[in-house]
Amino acid sequence: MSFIDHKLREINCKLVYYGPGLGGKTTNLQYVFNKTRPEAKSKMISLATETERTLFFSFIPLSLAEIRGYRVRFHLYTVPGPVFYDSSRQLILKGVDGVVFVADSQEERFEADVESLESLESNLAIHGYELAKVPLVLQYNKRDLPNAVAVAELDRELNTLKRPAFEAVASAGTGVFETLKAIAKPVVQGLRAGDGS
Amino acid sequence: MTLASLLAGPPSLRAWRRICAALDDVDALEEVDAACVGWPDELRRAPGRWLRGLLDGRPQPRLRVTRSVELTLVGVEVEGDRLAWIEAPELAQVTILRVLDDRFADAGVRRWLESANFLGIVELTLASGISDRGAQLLADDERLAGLRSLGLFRNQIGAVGISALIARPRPWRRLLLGRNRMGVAGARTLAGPTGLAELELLDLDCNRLDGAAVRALVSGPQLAGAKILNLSNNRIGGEGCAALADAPMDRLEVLYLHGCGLDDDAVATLLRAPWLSRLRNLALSDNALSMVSIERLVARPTLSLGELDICHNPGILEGAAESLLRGAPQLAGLRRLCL
Repeated sequence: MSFIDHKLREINCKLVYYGPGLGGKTTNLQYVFNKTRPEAKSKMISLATETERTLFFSFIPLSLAEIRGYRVRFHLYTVPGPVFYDSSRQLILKGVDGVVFVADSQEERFEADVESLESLESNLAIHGYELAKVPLVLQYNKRDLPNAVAVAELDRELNTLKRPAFEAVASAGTGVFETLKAIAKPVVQGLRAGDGS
Repeated sequence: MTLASLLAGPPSLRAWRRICAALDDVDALEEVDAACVGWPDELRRAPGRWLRGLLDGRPQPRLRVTRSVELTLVGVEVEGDRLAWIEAPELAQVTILRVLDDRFADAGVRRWLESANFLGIVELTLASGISDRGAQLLADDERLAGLRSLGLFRNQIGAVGISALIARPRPWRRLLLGRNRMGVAGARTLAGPTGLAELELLDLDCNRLDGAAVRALVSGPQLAGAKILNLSNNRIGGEGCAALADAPMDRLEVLYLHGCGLDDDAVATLLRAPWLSRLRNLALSDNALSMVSIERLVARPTLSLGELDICHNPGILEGAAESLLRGAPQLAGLRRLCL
């Protein structure tokens, strides 16, 4: 969960973009990165680490008020593309503050969406977290494709917890920031609640 | 949708999730077990909440209906017996087991060997921290004879352990040995006379292999039937690429060469491989390639990839590379391009 850097006076929150391979997780991160002002963001880093190749960067939303004199820095993570070891996707969940589940709306990827959500829920549970208690937002990506499953069906199958869900075309930026704002909100609320302010 | 209708319907992960949710509320284990006999074991996954309950010392009879277990215990604290799953009678029927536990080690192997569970196992992954000694012990386990997939990645296994594991005929289709300590000696061992006649996937990611090791590896018969080969994070360089290009890998479809110390000359060597036209997925990320390699890729008329990963090559210009690759008619089927 979030850690505080007293020297820099920053609260660091980890947001993980999770979902099936080729669903648009990396595209989301790249879009946010490209649209964020240089002075507010770190470099985009791709590391071959214990979690395989991990893509991440951090930024400080300038519009977000400080919390008792501390700025909030969001670290956006994903495991780009298909991974060789399935467990890699699970390792990235360690210490997560919020999850964006990026579903691929295409009909032929529906079962992959379900599989990915199942692995997310299962591995959070093994870590002792309940999906129901972790800030979670769903993004139904690739809405521009003709074989996209109806949103109602995606909702019925993937969004049983009735969390905020957004339609997106991440490659065009549609829905990307709406999703990010939606996951940032409960995370920041959690911080403020912990702060007591 | 009722439990009865789910059980009467076609097998799917969606249906299985709902069945498991129903079992949280009703006692219908016998009914589910009987109705799901024909379901693929891969679908009959153990929900994490049930597994967590088992680790916390609470009996989980519902796990009896599951056939597939995936446990990732990295940085996870367990108050009770961390290895309790090994002897849990609820998991006796499991046939697919994938465990990544950062404290597993040889002690975990010894515990595994003492267990009478998992007699019908077909896919086994055990990690991490297993040494050569642990691999030697594991090699004597009769249950390995029935496997189609063995994953021992993220361990500390070298040539000695590998030698023990492959000393007898094995019907394995998938062998994942990534992130171990093979080195040249391990590669030579793997290439020697072994019973690995049916291998379709070989993962040797991050194993201290160099060009000579790859040359040794491809000299054996094990790669002849390989469809997927992962040599990422080994500094195989141009010599390794030359060895691969010369290898008779006529069935190869997926090749991962991420972080292999490759330059443009090495890729040029690789591109002369006669098996290249079968390749569907190629990863050349995190090397030292320039636009010259992109031009050479595009110039190969028989290269018909579905996925290409060339990110983290400082000499490749994203826009220009994408334009060239997308413009190549033989790469019209490229559905994933990572720049």
